[in-house]
Amino acid sequence: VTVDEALPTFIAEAAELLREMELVLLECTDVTPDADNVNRLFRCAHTIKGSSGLFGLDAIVAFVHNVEAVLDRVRLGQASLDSKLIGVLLKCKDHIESLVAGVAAGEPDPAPTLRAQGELLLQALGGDAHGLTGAPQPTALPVNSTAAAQQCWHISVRFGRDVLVAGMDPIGFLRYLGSFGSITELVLIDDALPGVAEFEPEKCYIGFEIAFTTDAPRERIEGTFDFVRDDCRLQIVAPASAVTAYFEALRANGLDDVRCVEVLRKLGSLSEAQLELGLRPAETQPVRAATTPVSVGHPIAVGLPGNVAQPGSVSPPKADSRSVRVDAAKLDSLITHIGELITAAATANLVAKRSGNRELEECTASVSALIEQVREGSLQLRMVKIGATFNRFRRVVHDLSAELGKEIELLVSGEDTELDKTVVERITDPLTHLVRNAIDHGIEAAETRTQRGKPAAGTIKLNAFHESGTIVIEVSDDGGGLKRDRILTKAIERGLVAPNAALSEAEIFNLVFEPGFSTAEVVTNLSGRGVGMDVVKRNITALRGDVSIRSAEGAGTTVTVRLPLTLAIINGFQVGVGQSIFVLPLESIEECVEFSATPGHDFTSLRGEVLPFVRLQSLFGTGSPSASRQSIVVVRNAGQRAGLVVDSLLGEFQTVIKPLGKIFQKLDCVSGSSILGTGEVALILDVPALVAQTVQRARASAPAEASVPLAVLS
Amino acid sequence: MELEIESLPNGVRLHGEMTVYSAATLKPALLESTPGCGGLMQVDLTGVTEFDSAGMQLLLMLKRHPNVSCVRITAASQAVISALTLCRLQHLVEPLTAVETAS
Repeated sequence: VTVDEALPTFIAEAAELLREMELVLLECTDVTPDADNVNRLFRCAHTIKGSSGLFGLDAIVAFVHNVEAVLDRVRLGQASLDSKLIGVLLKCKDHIESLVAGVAAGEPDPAPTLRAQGELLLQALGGDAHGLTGAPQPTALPVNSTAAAQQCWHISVRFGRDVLVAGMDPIGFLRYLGSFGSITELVLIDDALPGVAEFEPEKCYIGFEIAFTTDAPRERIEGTFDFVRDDCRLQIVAPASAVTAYFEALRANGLDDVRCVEVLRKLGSLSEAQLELGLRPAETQPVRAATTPVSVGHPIAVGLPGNVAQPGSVSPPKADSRSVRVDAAKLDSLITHIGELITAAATANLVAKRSGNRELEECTASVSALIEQVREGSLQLRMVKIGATFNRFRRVVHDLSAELGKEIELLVSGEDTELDKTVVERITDPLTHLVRNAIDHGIEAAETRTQRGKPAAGTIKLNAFHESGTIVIEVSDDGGGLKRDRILTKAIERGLVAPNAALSEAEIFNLVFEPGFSTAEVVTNLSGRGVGMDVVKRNITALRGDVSIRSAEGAGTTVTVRLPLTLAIINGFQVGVGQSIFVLPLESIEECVEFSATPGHDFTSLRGEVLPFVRLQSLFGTGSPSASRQSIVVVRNAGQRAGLVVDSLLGEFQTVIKPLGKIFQKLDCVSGSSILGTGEVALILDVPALVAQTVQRARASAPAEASVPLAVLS
Repeated sequence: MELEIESLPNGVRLHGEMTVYSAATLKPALLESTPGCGGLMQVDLTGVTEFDSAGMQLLLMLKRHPNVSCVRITAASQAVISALTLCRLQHLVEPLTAVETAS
């Protein structure tokens, strides 16, 4: 692996670390930062510095070094991580991001403006630390990248059982190390500690894994442990050693591969790429290496139940260490090919059926089953958790609440809900707009809130969950809510609704999605940029999604966004109407029942409940009704049900969604098209639109016939 | 200062040395206080004058006690904090800042 080949890995890794850094910083604004948070921050900075050093990216090393130094002081309790410092650190994180972006663009030397910006930030950092500690503070240290990377030794030590009785204190050795270098990171190894009953309080069971920065030679470090020379196991790994040297040292001291990776990651001694490299030789040997706790014959570990009896201490390797980075374009082309494959297989199926050759039919059936599995699997590859997107909003909330002087808490739930990568990418902007809107217009000023008897700090909630083949994302705030009357007045003013129209509450609220509709009295710098809710709605509709709004004046607003899980391939249910075939997304179908109707009306009774339906035949004008028995397909969307009257039910088929041409995009009730095995085109029905239309029509005709549905029920 | 062990409703308060010299006495005393703690063992170490690896091992042992799901050091002296910080175990002391001002 040459340096240039590894660079993309570095860039991706740095991006991840920076994201984590941002996340932790924002967490620290919500709760009092604990040691764990500070350590995580430090580790991120440390790792970025280390790996940029490997690539000779001096500009990054020099900058991050200062950030790391400040974090180190925080860790030692010499500086406190207050909101001011967090603000500066967030900016530093952005700056590092720009530096890394420069490297990615092939310009490792930052532009003068960027450099100047960096210096300003360093001053802010330095100034901060001064104010807090009063201690003399070395000004921006010029760091030689290679030297910085080389100084970091790894010390692995396990103490013998009797060192305590001999008057030695392991912690004392740490203090001594501190006199000629600095312990950048440390992991206490207490795997050997036995259960309560066997624990002998005067025996020593612990050891340390230490990342130690010093300019002293190896002898000096070894000398530290002279007093316990014969009563400890000491492994010292020189700076910039081969990856295997680290693993060998740790294994020699009784750590299995899983723990090795865990410890080395925590210490920041090796980058992710290196960790993987270190594991590789172990994988060529059987897995035993990872499961055997300690090789027999160790002076310390022998016969101690502590080594095996603590499942909690050996955590499974994090998923990310086993993952592979794949170019998104490759995935997309895979999905496209699978789409073609499905269409081709459908044709093959059809031909097989026509040929009447049993054997051939069986073959095509099993091929189809396999294709379905491949399809499932490859779509799964593109599924990502929405948590990463949600976390991005922490920064938005943090920055905006500072700008507006409102105190706002962000609550996130359902982060593990998965959806297609392309959907995630395209939903971020509309969601950002909704969150900004909630902060800007939703949450009231603190005084108003207190007057209304609400806590001064506003809350914004993000929630996500799956519901019948769609993902639902909710953005809610506990702010002032929508003013129903004002919306109605404005809508009438603009001629959007007739003055005497009888609108339901939901319909009134949904008026805010009309183009150019804004009820805020003051256009603020944040959300008054002319990009309104109509754009949000348009973006979501373009994803075959749907958005609605609920609100109670004075109590808050909830915007609900519904999106299909994937944009590429769905499980479809084909129905025949006249000569045409239509496809319904299988997830939206509740059941199919025999056609029946209350004479003269467009609804039926489904187990005692009124079910409005629409005749697809008359809706699409597909010729004369066939004489055969008709069926009703019951579909559900957003808690409402409707029936679709069709001539025949053709069954379940995998459906590759092809977008409609431009001229058809305005078509109501049709969301796409698909090519059938026969080569014919089938239209995919837009269930949400159909349900909404049917329910609305039923409601519109209801007042005149109010008594009829009741008659059906009784 | 002499060793003193004070039982609290859901934990224990220690005074004096928490080192290898007192460890043998402390182990049974600490174990005695575990049944009443209801899983969350609260330990007050404000009065601890000396603290070494043996003292730290006692805390680690408590953490593994079947009756204890969480050990929380409600307050601690500088000696304890500096040792725990060296071993990166500050998270046992919560909240960190409050303790530092206390000591």
